[in-house]
Amino acid sequence: MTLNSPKYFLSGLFFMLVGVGAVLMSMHLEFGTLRAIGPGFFPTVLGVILAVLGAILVFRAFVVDPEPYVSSDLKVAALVLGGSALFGILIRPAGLVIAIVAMILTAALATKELSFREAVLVAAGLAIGSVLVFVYALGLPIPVFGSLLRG
Amino acid sequence: MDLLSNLALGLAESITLTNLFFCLVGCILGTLVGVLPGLGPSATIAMLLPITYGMDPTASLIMLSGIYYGAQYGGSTTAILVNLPGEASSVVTAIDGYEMARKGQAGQALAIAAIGSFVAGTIATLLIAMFAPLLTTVALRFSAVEYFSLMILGLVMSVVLAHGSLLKALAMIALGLLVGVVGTDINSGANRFTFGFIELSDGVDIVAAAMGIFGLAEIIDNLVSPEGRTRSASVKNLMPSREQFRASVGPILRGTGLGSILGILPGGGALLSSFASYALEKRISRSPERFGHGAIEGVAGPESANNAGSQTSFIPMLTLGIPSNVVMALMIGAMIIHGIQPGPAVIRDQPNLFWGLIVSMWIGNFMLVVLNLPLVGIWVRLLSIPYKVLFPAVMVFTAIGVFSLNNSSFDIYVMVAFGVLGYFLRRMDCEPAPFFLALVLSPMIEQYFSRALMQSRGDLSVFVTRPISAVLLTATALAIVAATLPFLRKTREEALKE
Repeated sequence: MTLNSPKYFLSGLFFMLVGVGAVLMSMHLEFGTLRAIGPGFFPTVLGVILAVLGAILVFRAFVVDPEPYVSSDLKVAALVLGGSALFGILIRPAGLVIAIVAMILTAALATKELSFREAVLVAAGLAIGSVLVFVYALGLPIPVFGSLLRG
Repeated sequence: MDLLSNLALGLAESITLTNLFFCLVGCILGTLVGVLPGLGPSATIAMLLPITYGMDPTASLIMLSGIYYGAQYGGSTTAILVNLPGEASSVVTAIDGYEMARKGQAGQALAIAAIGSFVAGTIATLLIAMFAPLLTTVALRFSAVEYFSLMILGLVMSVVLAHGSLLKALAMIALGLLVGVVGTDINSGANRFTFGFIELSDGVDIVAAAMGIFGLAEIIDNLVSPEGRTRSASVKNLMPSREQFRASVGPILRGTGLGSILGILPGGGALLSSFASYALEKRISRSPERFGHGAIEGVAGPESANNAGSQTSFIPMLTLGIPSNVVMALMIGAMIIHGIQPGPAVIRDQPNLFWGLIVSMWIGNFMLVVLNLPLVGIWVRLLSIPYKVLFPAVMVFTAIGVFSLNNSSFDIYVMVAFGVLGYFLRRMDCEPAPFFLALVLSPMIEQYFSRALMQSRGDLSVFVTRPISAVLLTATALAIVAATLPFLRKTREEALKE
């Protein structure tokens, strides 16, 4: 037996783990009866279904036709997602301007198309534009400069 | 006549200055995101949802739907002129549309696409006006049992018509339903899967989830595989010749019919309609060899079909509260934000909103034809905005939009978490759309299931003994069987490949 499809294998494994996890986490919830189902009923049933489907996928990974290998792009994903997370972390303490600049400079590392100079320009432009449009024009309650900067 | 008075009511509602204005804004925004590849209507609608909080519900729904059908127009413009489909539903238009453009017939191709879309939009609007009230009267008699079965059918149909592994798609539905459980159980008050986060007690915010799965994941995809850009064709003559008109009438009408039917089916909508129409036109054509070399039928049919499909996909959303695609799921989110529970009661309790929205779609289609042909040059110039400038802007709008949902960073983290999930699942060739539909429907499915069993005193057989429910569940089973049959599977893949 050879592992022909890592995609079937990994996705199946993931579904299995989530399914089993859901069943375990629903244990402390009341299952109820069919006449009056409890809060644990729906997640337990779904967890079982998901785990079974995952198990079939794992099995199928060995019998389907081999699939071509696709190169990974973990770095791009990590930078784009990490940049967005950074925005969430910075928005309260540092404010909108710094949050935007930090997010864009991080995400810019994901592509070679954008040089550092260009990235700084784009980030600055977007920061100024967003403050004008969202904070002043639309009046959204977003801190321009965060609690840390205001001392 | 009922139909006429309803349409008159809708007309009165939709031609108020505010509603006309937001219809126009929606159409322009829609065309814009349709033209720009890498920015789709679902991400745009999710981004704009927070801004519609303060707006009148009718106006905000009119604007959001304008974005959806406007994107179909915009997507075809770039497909024809630069062989760059702005939307997935315009992929087939690019095949023959771009060939026509290379032969110097770009103007005619654009005009036929616009005329076809308008005809399709008009017919589909009439179809909605005729069938929505009918469906509503049926739906009002539905009890929890029928609703449960209907939602299961909807979810299964959405994966049967999609491409890729059926098994993975079914697992994605189960996963979506499971994630939809997160939050406080409304019957018992028990916290489920909240991991101690008080912010999760209302469940996962669907806008934050959509932005992560679709918005951020799309940016990653686009950065990983940058598309090559081609030179733009010039537009000389807009007027199609008489032969071109004659050749287009059939495809436009057939495309409209096909799109109207497929649009109603969950998972159908614009994308599948355009593929199916192209395949149909090619099959019945007396000279199929012209397809791929600038056949006008290959533009007229799919463009009419995708517009008809995007219009009629509003029917199940407006009458039953069941979304047939991701955009409709977001529209349901928009209605709930404004305190309107989507379902058969909308047409009865909010006739102004219902009919105003429907008539505004027709007005919006008219605006698109009038606006887009003269403005083609501007839209094409937009394409010169490089993606390296576009994606930071999209990221900023996304982050600010999601933050503004509740003025909290927590929603940003939810978005990032769903971005991670979406990225992983895409890498594994698991389509995220069924997951998202299931996530949105999950609380309703659990409620209806629980209520149905309460009424039947715990008797599961109620789902197969009540006739309508039995028919719906049989259809569900047949759909799964059909999707696994080898020969049907093959034609399904071929139809999508063509």
